[in-house]
Amino acid sequence: MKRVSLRRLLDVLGGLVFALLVLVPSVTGLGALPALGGALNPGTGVWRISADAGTAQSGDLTLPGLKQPATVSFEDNGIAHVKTGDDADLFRVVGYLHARFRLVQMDLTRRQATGTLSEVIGAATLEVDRFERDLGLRRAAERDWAALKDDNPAKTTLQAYSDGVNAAMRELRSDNRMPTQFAVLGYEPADWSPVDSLAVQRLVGQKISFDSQAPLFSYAEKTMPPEAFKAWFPDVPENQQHPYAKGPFQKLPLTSLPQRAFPDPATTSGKANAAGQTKPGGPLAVGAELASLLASLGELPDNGSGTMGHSNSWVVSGSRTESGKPILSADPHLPHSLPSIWYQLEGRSPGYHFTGVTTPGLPVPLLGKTDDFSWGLTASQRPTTLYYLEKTEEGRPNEFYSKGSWQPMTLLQEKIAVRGQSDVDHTIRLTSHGPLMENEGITAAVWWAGTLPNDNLHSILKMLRAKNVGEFRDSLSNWVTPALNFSYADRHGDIAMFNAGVAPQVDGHPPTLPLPGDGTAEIAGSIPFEALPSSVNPPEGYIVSANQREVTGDYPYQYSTSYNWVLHGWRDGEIVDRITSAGKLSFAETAALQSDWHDNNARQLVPLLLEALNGEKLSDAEQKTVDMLRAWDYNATPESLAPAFFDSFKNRVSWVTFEPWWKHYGVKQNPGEYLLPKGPDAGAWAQETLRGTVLGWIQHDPENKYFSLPDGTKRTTTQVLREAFHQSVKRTVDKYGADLNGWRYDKYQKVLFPSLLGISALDVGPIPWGGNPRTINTAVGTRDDDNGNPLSNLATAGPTWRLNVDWGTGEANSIFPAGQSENPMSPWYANGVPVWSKGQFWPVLENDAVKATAEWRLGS
Amino acid sequence: MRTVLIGVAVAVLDAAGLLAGWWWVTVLVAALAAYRFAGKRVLLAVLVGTALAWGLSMLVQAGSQLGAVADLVAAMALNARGLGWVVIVVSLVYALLLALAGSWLGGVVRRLSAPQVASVQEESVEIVEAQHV
Repeated sequence: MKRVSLRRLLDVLGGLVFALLVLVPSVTGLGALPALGGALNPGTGVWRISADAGTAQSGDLTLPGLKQPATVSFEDNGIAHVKTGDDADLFRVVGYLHARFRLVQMDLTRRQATGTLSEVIGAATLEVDRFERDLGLRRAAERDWAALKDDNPAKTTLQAYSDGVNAAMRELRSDNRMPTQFAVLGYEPADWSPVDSLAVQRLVGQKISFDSQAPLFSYAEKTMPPEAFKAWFPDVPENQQHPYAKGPFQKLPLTSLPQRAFPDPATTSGKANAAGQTKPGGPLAVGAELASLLASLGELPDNGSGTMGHSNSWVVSGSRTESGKPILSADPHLPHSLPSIWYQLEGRSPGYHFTGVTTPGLPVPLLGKTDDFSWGLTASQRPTTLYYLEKTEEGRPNEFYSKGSWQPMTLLQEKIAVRGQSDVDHTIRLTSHGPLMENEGITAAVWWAGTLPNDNLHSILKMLRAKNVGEFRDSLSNWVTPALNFSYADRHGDIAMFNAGVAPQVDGHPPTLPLPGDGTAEIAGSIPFEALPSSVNPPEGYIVSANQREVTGDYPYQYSTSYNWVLHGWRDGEIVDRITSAGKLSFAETAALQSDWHDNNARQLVPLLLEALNGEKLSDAEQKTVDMLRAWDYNATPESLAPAFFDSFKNRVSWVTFEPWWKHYGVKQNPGEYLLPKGPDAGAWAQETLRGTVLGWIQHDPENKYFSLPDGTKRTTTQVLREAFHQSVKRTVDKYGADLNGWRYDKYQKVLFPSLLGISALDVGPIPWGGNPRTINTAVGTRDDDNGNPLSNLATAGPTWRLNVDWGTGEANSIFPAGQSENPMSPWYANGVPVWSKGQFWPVLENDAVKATAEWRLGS
Repeated sequence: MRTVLIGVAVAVLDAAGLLAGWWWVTVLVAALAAYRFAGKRVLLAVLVGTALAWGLSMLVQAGSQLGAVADLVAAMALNARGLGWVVIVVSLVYALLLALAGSWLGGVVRRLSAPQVASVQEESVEIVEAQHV
């Protein structure tokens, strides 16, 4: 009997233990695994086909709140065409569309903007959340939403958009067709609100305009003699510039900036309300299979949502075009990602008709065309992120010294929800200048224009209704941030470029370097809109913006310098050269120009090198290199050979020139060690400016003292160029071999389109590629290898959308290297990549020209 | 015939619960079957019924896209393309583990509530059965 009882006991205990082992992970998850019951359940888990997994199918759909029936037509490439009978309905349908095709992207973007990524990802994103909460995008969004008056069309638009997003979410939930990614991550998104859209709007601005150049370059400024710093990093770059505003300039009185109080009125409780928007499925902690996914999501800000905002846009008047009417071309440069930052659509309602790219989370297009005009954007390089070095004392942890007395900081206490662990307390410390943050190893109060009160959405809505250049310009007069150049071309024959956004001016101190926080460097005001750079129908017949300095050196306000933005003069130089050397520019030519890989730096530097090598004794490899360079047209195509050499040479010219001097001066590196190059072939921020400086000196100031050595040894530019040449040939032969056929550019130059989730299995590429950061068809490597060295030949950023509009022929085309759907199962996930990479386009179709393959008929 | 009927009943009940989003029905149905019926054949029927219910439910949801869905999940969870079959296998194994857990618990309850038998032979049979359910 005893033996039997023991077995019974073991039977019971065994059953219970086994059941617990199976049921606990089923209910709560295990490690990084979500709750397995919900995740693997065929009914509600990962096995559902989410709504965005395929192409759209025709049918009747319900969208509550619609005032009139609406339609959405889809081309076979996924481009959507929305037609509504009411203006608010238009943005309601846009919200619905975004949520149907980009809900995961929208939720992650909202979470990044509001500092709530850790709630669903875990500790990997804690620093990102802290950063965003310090910066205060959500505080600003809440404040601005509260300030919107009922009669402001932006308010109606935001509410209608949110209603559309939420209607789609309700539909997806009830149909059990939420995106698979949510099932894997184990949570579902909460409802969308207008504040979320305003926070996302600021995040877009952050990607374009937030920078830490001031603390970065302060390492050089503090350790170099002032005259040396000014010579190496002048206000106006030394290489040839192409400002579109050439003066004469008028100095108008400064205007006041939008007033921002700390804490912002919306957060007087001192508690941010950013967390708690979601329903996480269960505690997750890094440690199992999903750990890698969560870790890659933790790096989100470094890839799909990172920073890097270049752009090209040019407008050419009818006097220079084949069609006799203006042409506009625009291509914003941002990090590539799948899905893209852009969702392209045509929107038509009684008050609006536009085609352009929207950002999921925002209701309006940011670039595109209307019936009357087309417009593009480029980032302006003038400083809008100011750093104040606050004086503090150990015994006064929450005070700062300003204007002769100790002032209390405003403290905001927040709790950050972190998946898999308890909430983390976070204190935001605000001085009168902004939140105290650490950037580049320097703690400073950050004054960033991106959180100033703004009503930019209203500006865009006004702009979309503009009928001519005057109305377009007026719509931008209240634009606050980010600082942008708006290019413009219209059906009437006008072309223009307007710089818009606040431009802070600081008395007696350069705003491009850290400022004293003691009250002696307060912002006196902003450059008035009327005095910002602009150009309307210039006599030369074209206007180009490629992030170059917009104004000449005699501009009477504090403006940009050669170091608060880099990559000056190369792309704009090439574009200007092409436009002015062409006969009458055709639509096809301007579209092809966007895929151009000519290197303007090489175009200027290589002839100087070849001249310097006259009479120099060369080895066989060096002679072959010279012969190759003589035959090179400076086009960095995938099959070209010369870029392998020039990649090294461009860096070594400035290395040979400056390296002895920065050693002599003891210039310090920033903590991340990317201010100065770590080696002769490495890129670095200072290197980008010095590239222009040394070229300008070779061209115009060959006797400059910095060509000689600090010990007084005299060197000529010829000696510097020869030395850089010998070093570069040796390095290239060592790396790629003596056979020039091994130097093909596409053997090592690639482009990659990373998945937004950071999952390499969902990436597209790497694809053999050409170009570099200085070419019109820009290719920028934003990633580092495991040792922290930049992967400059793996382009992960570049033209994210291309638009061309010819107002004479009526032709328009566009392309983006991604697709309309975020679902990797969808044929619309990356269908734009092969078209984009061949330099081809999709035609921009509107109205009756649309060849729809499916249509949604929406009713309330 | 009885075991076939049990298997079919398990499959139908499981599938209905799964499509409603109730994954725990798998445990409950297995427990009820093992409580009501004893024997290795019953256990086999429960496991086959469970596998059928999960497999068919997955097919109903994903249809011809089953492999593509599995591939996407594998890409997200394992960061690898082409391992969708692993996700399918893991799902089915997980379902069988749920059914085993339910069967074991159901069997325990049945055995605890049944009168004790003195015969060593019967005991042995019961122990063997316990090890199987």
